[in-house]
Amino acid sequence: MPAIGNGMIALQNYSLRLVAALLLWLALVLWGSAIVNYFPALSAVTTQAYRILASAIAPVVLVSAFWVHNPRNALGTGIILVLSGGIALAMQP
Amino acid sequence: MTPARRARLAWMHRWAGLVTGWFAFAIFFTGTLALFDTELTRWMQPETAIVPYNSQLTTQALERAQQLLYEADKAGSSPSFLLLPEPRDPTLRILHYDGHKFVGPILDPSTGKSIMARNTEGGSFFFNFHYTLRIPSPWGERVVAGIAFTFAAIMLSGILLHLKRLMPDYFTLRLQASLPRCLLDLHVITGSAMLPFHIMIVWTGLLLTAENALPVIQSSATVPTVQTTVTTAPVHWSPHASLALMIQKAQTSLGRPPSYGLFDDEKTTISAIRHNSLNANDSTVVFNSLTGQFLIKTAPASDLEDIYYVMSGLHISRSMGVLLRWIWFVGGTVSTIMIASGLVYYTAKQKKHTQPTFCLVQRLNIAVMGGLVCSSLSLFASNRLLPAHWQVRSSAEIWVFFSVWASCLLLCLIAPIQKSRQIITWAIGLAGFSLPPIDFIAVPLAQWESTLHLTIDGFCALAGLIAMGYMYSLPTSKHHD
Repeated sequence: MPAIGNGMIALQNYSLRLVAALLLWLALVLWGSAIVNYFPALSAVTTQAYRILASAIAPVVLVSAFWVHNPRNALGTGIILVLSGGIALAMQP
Repeated sequence: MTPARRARLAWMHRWAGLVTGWFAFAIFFTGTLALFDTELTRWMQPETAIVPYNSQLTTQALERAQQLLYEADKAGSSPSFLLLPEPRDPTLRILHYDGHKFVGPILDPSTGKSIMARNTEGGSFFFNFHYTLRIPSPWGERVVAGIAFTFAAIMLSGILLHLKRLMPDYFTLRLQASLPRCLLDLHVITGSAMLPFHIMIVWTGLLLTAENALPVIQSSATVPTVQTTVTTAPVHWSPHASLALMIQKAQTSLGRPPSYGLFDDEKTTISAIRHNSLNANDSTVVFNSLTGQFLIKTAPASDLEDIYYVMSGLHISRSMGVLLRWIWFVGGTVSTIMIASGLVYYTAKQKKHTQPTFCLVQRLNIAVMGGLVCSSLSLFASNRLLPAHWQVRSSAEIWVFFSVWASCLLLCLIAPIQKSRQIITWAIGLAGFSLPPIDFIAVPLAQWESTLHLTIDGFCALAGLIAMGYMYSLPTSKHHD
């Protein structure tokens, strides 16, 4: 029984980390979009710059969800970054 | 790195690799073949061999092309474009998109006479499969983008897991060791030996798929208002001014021979690929299609745009020289082996387990990887065996490709693993060895181009040889996938 219990906890932890990885990816999209929208006159340049940088850091961001010790930290960071990115995108000048 | 963190990264590497590995194998395999898509098309259309590589484009041929463009426009066809003779393909092609592929007449650039080449997708089939998996747009591109991003994370976790042993792993391949050990060595050595190539090809791939994976969401404040469009009479797209003259002017303006021409909205856009360069930014001039008047020449790219174009060029490898293209081919092959060895390692080390999941993974390994090699060879064989001027032969070739692959999958699902592996390996061996004689018999000697045919036939025979070698090595490694 304890083995099954540990297995369930591990599965739950990995599920949280997977969700965190998806949220971090969504945060990248939201923050990137917010920055591109912030400079509408330079949208062609900023879009390219955003994609070059985001594609470089995306693997690091995804792996970071499995790097941190506590899965709740990964999830919390993901939620905060998504919310802040959403707010930044909504509150354009 | 703490053992717990190592375990987490290993879990991610294993499971994400398993889920996306089969797709990644197909993407890398077809991408490696697509490096020589133009050459494969020329091999699959042996009738074009009557045009030698050093053919000169004449005014007569361009006038004939212009006439064909005009007729297509008059018939209400969608805008076509013109592929001008190039060192890799010396023919003159007028192509349009039919919803699945680019089709159109092929002309001799010296005389303008039509070449009755067989209808085939050629090497562009592998190119399209590489970035769409043949799934309808835009879902194919989205799936490939998702796999590319997951693969990048898998690669980073693999690097982190092997970081300590990166240098020793360069020199470790224990072929006499147990199968899991040998497979792991192969996986790690192919991963670490070509690490810069893997990083470059994955990052540039991410950039090319970023439009789907990293979209730009428009906030409500910046969404442009939808304007009602006024319906106008359809605009003719074919050029009325002399095409030969526009191409001559374009060559003078660009400083090198143009590579292709696009016709749309009463404008003729003529572009030149920068050969032997990593930069995918083509130089372009635009003319008025009605008067032939020079309108604009594209401004030089900014530094940031140049970074983007060089990164695209590194992945697409359309403008690079032959030597670099072969290096990329080796890199792509090594990447494909890395993925294959990783997938087989997963089941090889799980021998103590007898759960249906592991059996399914074993079967899918054989079906996806062996099946893809087998179906690619079948595509080449069908190109030679189907009647040359059959109207639907292009679709029939694709049907053969997917039928063979589906048959492999079915075989793996219903037959014992050992048996299905033997049959597929034999099929690869048979197809690989039979392709050179089929090619020799089916293609008239006048249409044989020694280097091109010997290279492609040689690679098919090599695939057969490897399959046969694997077959004979089976008794000593009974539990292979």
